[in-house]
Amino acid sequence: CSSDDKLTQVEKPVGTLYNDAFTEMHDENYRRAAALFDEVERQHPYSQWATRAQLMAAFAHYQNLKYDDAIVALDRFIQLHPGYENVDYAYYLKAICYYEQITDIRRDQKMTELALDSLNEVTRRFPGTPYAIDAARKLQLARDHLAAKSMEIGRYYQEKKIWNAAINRFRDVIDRYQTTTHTPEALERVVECYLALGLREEAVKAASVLGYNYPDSEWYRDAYSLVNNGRTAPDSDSGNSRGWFGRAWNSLSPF
Amino acid sequence: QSQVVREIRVDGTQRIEATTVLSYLSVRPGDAVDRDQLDQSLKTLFGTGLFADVGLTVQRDVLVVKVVENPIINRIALEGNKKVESDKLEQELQLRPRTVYTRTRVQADVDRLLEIYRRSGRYSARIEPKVIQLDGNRVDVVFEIDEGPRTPVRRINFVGNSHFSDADLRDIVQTKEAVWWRFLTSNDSYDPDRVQFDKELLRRYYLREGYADFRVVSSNAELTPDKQDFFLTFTVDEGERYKFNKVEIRGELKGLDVEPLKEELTFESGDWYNATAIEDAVVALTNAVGNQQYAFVDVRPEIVRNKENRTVDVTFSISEGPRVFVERINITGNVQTLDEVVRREFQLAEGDPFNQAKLKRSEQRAKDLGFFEKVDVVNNPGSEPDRTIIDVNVTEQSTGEIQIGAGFSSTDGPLVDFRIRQRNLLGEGKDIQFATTVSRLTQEFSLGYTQPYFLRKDLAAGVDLFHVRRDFQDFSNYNQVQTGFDFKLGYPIAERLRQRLIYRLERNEITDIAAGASAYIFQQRGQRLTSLIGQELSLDLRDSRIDPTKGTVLTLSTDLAGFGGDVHFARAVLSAGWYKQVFDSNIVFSLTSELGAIFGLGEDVQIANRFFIGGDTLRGFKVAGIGPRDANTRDALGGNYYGKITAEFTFPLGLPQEFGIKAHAFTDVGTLWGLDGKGKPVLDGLGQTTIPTIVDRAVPRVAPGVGVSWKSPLGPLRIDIAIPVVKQKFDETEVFRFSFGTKF
Amino acid sequence: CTPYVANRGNLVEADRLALVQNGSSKDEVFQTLGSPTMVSTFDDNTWYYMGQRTEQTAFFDPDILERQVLIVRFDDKDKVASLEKRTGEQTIASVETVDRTTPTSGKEIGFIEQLIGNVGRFGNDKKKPGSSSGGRGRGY
Repeated sequence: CSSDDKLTQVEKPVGTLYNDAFTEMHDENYRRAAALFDEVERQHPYSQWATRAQLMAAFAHYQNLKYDDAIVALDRFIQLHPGYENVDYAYYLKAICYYEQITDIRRDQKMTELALDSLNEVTRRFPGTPYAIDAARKLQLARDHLAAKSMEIGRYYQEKKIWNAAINRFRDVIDRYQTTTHTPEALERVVECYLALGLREEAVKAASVLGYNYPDSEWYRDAYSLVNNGRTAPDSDSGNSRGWFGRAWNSLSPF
Repeated sequence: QSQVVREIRVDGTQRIEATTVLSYLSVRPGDAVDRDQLDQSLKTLFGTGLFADVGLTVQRDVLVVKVVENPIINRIALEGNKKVESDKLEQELQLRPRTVYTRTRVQADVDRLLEIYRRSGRYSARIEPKVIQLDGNRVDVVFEIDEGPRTPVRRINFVGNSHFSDADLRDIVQTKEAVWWRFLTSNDSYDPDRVQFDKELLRRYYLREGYADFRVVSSNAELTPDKQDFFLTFTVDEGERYKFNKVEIRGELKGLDVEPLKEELTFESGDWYNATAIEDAVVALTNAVGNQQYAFVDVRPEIVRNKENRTVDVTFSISEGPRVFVERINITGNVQTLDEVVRREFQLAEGDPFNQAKLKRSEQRAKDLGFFEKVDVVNNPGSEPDRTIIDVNVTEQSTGEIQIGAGFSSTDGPLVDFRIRQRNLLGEGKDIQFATTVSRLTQEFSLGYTQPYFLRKDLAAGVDLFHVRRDFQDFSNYNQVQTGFDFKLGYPIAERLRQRLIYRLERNEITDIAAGASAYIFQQRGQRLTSLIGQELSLDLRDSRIDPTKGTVLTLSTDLAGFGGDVHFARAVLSAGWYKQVFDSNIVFSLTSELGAIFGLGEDVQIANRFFIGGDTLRGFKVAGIGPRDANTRDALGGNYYGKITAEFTFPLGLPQEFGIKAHAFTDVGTLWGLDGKGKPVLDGLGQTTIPTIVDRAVPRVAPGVGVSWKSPLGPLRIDIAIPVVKQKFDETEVFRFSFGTKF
Repeated sequence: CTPYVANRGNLVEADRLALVQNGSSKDEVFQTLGSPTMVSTFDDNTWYYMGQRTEQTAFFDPDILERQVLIVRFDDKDKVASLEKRTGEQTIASVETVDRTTPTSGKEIGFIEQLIGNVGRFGNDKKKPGSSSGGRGRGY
């Protein structure tokens, strides 16, 4: 640990130590604040300040974007003080630490899954609290993210014309993530794949479910026109008229 | 019997709140309490690891929970460790300041520290954990370490080996005898696990040599009386050497033609028995049958030993394997790299029949991307009995490289080149590279960009722009400026065979010719435009592209210049590499060679297009150190034909794998010859016609040498020292070459 | 140099298919043909077994050597009601796909960021303890 931590090893009364930490926190140098809060707990483990300091240390780590340290501190806090009055905030902050590390869907989604589990825990343990309400909203975004990942892989296999792999990936979204924003597209893709396989009756079934649940979505318009006249709807967005050069430039450009 | 408990009282808590203790109890005030509930609560309380002692007693209708909290650790210290530094040990510790002290955790940490010492060969190390009580139930933990002497293996003996000498067998086993020059290795210490592995190495070696009955009877290590060293003795029962008798393939798959599969085998009746060859044959047969329309293949060798006439019959029975399908392929760990970049390397797709050979090949292709330190592929059961889920976990490594190369040669002093490269741009597998070489000799600026999956097909498209100003004053008294661009298009022709088409347009100029330069150089002053189309065919059968240990690679590139521009030539370069593991498997012998030739089409080949050999391409000699040369001006003129062979041993220095330090012993042999227009009169710098005397002898130059390569945390480092043993009077030599790159 | 041959999906051989006729139970079908490659999206009584063999040379799109789609329909007593096998042209149609995709949020790793290597934050920025301000997920 860096040199200035040596400075904090000096034994000080708990009150001044806690206030020093708080002022550091206020001045937004979070690393020193976290170190000072840890000192409060180390020097005076039995004072009631120690418990509060543990939570503040975790928050300081979080502000400093040191998500892993924050999560470790929060886990220890939850284990030591499961009955503490604002332990719900500890669970919530831990969920936020995972949530803020979610990367875009084409990359590893481990953080999304961890965020999902911890957000679920917040809504399960503390229903009705403001934390639970916010967690529920974030839960929806995280599930939407996992659905998008399955869609991405489905589209990959569709491009490679491996229809069974694509269909099963889109089915994954339709079955497990019905409430996400990706379900209409999943249904439309299933229509495309089944038509490509010559299974018209399956495509019609999927299109009708799409129409029933999302009557005014662009996806239904495309699915309907694909099933009826074999082409996507003419006035859907300009995207699909990009000829060979458009696709070539897009896949060649480095940015 | 159970009692109703009206109230619960908690005694002895200091740091932990009473509410916390209550939350772990399964009893609430007003409940009836019986023996099992109390035991259950006791177990959960202890399970938290927070308490040194817990007591539950019921006095009339009050449940008293008496706890003694485990102390909090204030500080942890390590004393007495000299051979292993403290921070390496601290990494292993689970105990941290401010966590709870428990005896079990301390004991676990002691075992972890002992394990580190055992791995570095110190079996008699002893560690005593000392606990110092502080006020407020806090403790300091001190690990007192007595590292004890190293217990090297002084002597390895073999009993019962008549067909192979003790020395042969000592090369096979990994445990080595402790001798002074093996100061860097830890293999010479006694390690029971390594001795077990040695037994396996011996068994595999003997089975490969045909001794089907081979058995390691025993292996024991006695401590010398003075307890300083170990004597290791392997008792073996070699048995007789067997030959193959009947070698057959029995196909139980409908419509499988067995005949063509015979050539997949590398042995036949009459050869010496070889267990490894049988294992390789199983893989080869699985692949061959798998490529036909059989999705599920199971190849099983049935081996029958015939003791009297010491022969072995082997029958490969090919039957239908288990019908298992791939349900999902999940890729994790790819924080930077896109899922698709890894997925497209896989020959298996979701829903496909599971095929072990294709899975192995896919794993190797992912590794060959060079983006990952580790690629772990695991099969897990799927949602149905006939389905499997393939979990691919990758550990990324930095694919950005800043390369700073520095060469030092006896006459020219330092040359520094700077190259920045990102091989996995935006995690999309695109490769972008900007190189500038700044030195007294060369100023080079080049920008290269390659998209490996152009149009989402297995088609690598690339473009390079370059401007190079080379100062050849010291070798040939002229400077050369090259400016131009090229397009490349690479694609697979077959599984291991790739082709690349290249178009290059380049303007090069020979300028600043020094007064004393050879007339030949004056003759080629001025600018020329070269417009060429070329192709490169490469067959890569090595086991890995990055650290090959076995297999061969062949590359043939041919260029034709003359599509426009004012230079016309045909050029071909053939390069080959052959790698083999020798002695005990971690020494790699490699034989690489390159042959090149260029023919002027109706004109002399210009100096700008001739080959120059030396420096990296021929260690022991300076850049352009060999080849045709003007006798009196000593200018190197380059040559039309060259040949180069390098034999190299790469061996670890016995250091643990993760240091990545390897030693090299090599011999470079090379020659360069052939110059158009020798003997014809040319105009020199002052306009007079002269016939320069050229020395041009196609004699091979030889330079043995040694080198060290280190994949340091900062980047790859290579130092080579080569002594030009066989050289010509006019050659320019160079002893020391060094290059260092950092990764970011 | 042999072109690359890929077996995709579950290509049921004729003799194995013969073991299944009308009236066979779901278990029997499962035992003989394996788990279905696809089950109809909204009706568990229609199973599809799809398999294809493709051959790919160089970077060109793989051409289909053989494709077979097997449709197994069960009645409400889980007994095979009808068996239909489609191969070749019946199972190959070119379909125009929509280029548009549903937008997602999520921290794009920028070019500079990849060079520096720290992945930024997804969701919104700093939060005070105890405050319960709803997070603003981008893109919604």
